[in-house]
Amino acid sequence: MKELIAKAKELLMNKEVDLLIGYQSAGEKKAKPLLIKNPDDADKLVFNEYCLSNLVTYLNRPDIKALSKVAVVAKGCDIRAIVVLLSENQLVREKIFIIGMTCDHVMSPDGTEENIKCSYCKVRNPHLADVVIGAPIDERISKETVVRHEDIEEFNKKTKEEKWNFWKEELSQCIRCYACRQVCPLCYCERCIVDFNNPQWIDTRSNPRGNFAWNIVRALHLSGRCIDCGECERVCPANIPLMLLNRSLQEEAKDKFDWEAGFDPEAQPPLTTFRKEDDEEFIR
Amino acid sequence: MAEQYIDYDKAKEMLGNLTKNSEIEVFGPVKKGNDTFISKLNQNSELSFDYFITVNSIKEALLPRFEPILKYRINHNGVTLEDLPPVKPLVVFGGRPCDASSLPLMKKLFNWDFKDEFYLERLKKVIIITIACDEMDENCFCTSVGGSPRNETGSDVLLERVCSTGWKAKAISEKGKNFLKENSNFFNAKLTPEKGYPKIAEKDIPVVFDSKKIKTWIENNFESPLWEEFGANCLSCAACTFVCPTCHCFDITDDASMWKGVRTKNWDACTLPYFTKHASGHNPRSQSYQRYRQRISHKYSYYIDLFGQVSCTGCGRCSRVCEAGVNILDILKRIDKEATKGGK
Ligand code: SF4
Ligand code: SF4
Ligand code: SF4
Ligand code: SF4
Ligand code: SF4
Repeated sequence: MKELIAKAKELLMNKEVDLLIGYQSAGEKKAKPLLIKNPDDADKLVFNEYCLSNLVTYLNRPDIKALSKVAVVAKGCDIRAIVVLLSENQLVREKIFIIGMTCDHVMSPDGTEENIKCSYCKVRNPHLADVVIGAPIDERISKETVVRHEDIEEFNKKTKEEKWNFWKEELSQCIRCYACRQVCPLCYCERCIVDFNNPQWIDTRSNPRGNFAWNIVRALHLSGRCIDCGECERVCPANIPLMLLNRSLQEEAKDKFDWEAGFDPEAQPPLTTFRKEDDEEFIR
Repeated sequence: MAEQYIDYDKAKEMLGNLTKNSEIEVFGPVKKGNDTFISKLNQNSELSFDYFITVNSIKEALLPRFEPILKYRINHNGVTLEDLPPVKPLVVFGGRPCDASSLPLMKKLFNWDFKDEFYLERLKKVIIITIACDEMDENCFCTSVGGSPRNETGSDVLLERVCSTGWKAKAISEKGKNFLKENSNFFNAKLTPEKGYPKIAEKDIPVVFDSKKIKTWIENNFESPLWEEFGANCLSCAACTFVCPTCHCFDITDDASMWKGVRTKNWDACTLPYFTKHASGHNPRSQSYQRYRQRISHKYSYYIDLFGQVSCTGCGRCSRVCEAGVNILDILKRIDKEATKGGK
């Protein structure tokens, strides 16, 4: 923590950055984002297993994008979002200062156990950073391991009808608050398709039709891009298991394109590349 | 009438019974994951009574997330309006006093320049069965805005916990009296009040700010840099406003095909980026802190000008649901402190 605070002070004091985004305590076993401009506020910074927020999402906020340089405290999994944003030309590398934190795990949102995503994490040691803070941590699995999710395997055993009913029940509870979109570091469209009203592409009513359209569109727009931070599911005030959807699509991307988002800034994401030799058997 | 009690089993039975009647709509507390929600009940709903406060508010029942307000068909003779389904009587079970006390507030708004017949009709036909609070957390502040854990405002029946599995019932309104009479076979549980209940009293929730001071500060400090600080973390979703019992903004959308269409009233929120975007492209509240300032100012200043009352019941739902860590109580306390310091 000392090292983090010292670095933050240095960056702000020397005016190397205009703003620093980190974590502060929000009471026992809780942390929340801290956005500071004044070096004196750096003493509030914390980093612990309750630092769940993916702070990278703030880099997309218009007022923050307008600043000349911003420092962000990021765990390896959060940095995956930076990698995708860079490859999609949404960030200018020189305008961000990445304070990478080595990280063994964070807790689940209810604070009772280790977060699922940490059990198969491949980036306990930040893979892209301007400074790395914290002792190196042993990775538990190799970069090559293909990650499979038991809950998805279970889910896929259901019949089509059972799946339909499951999602109908879950999505009927979506209140269309768009917290999932607002918190997602990769939902950065200046105008989301759901906000178009002339014509209205997506039904904005919180009825089954509108909710299916909304949640499917969002999942599809994140396919091959979602970096598994789990923020959408964590913030959803209706407790909808959104990661079931997102992780299924991650597995698809792995199977069909041998692709995992957010590891290699040089690699071209599958949905933004065109190759003549793609077999395109789905187009008929 | 003798004292009336109801326990968990009888409450389940009563709500199950009411749900069978397709002529009424019944709302009650249902658990999902670690949280409890006020949900529209059906035959399969699993009721849960051991909760501190629901994530959402009873607004869900009176101001639905979406509601058709007009239906039409077009044929060769012109346009014909179609009947809307009639508003059914409602029973809403399991809100807290900070839910129910929003109703008189909302009534003022929906009875204002335009009479919102949908809301008013529901309000007429609803039975609000509130459960007095037995727990609190660091986000509760009902007493600072004139409420209390046992506040009766807006309720028809108030239930007060007397033991771990049941409540004592008190009729607050004429409607409530009739409801208790009609359902007396459920309100006849033999309960022995246990020691230690209710667990909290009004004095456990101290008054922590003066809403009058806050109003004056807001009036004089629209441009204060503090607003930027208050809204710094906000990510501009609508979670806080949608769970709020007193937020009431809506949007009108049309869903139409060649020969028919329906016009719907949908929840909307001042915290969303597009709420004030003009057709020209200009957005007078382009930044998230400006939108959050609107949310607070509306509740603690503009609403008082219009209707003489703060439009916040102190339920703390907005803070609990905000995963970006925006906490309304922290902000109000800070404003109170500033106002005391600055003397304005
Ligand atoms: S879709 Fe969800 S898990 Fe994926 S990047 Fe966005 S917020 Fe994270
Ligand atoms: S956060 Fe949840 S409730 Fe809100 S729009 Fe997304 S899925 Fe729906
Ligand atoms: S205060 Fe929190 S819940 Fe409300 S709009 Fe901002 S981020 Fe969303
Ligand atoms: S503003 Fe927050 S505390 Fe006040 S009534 Fe709404 S949800 Fe409750
Ligand atoms: S303007 Fe915002 S705070 Fe006010 S009622 Fe509407 S949504 Fe709620």
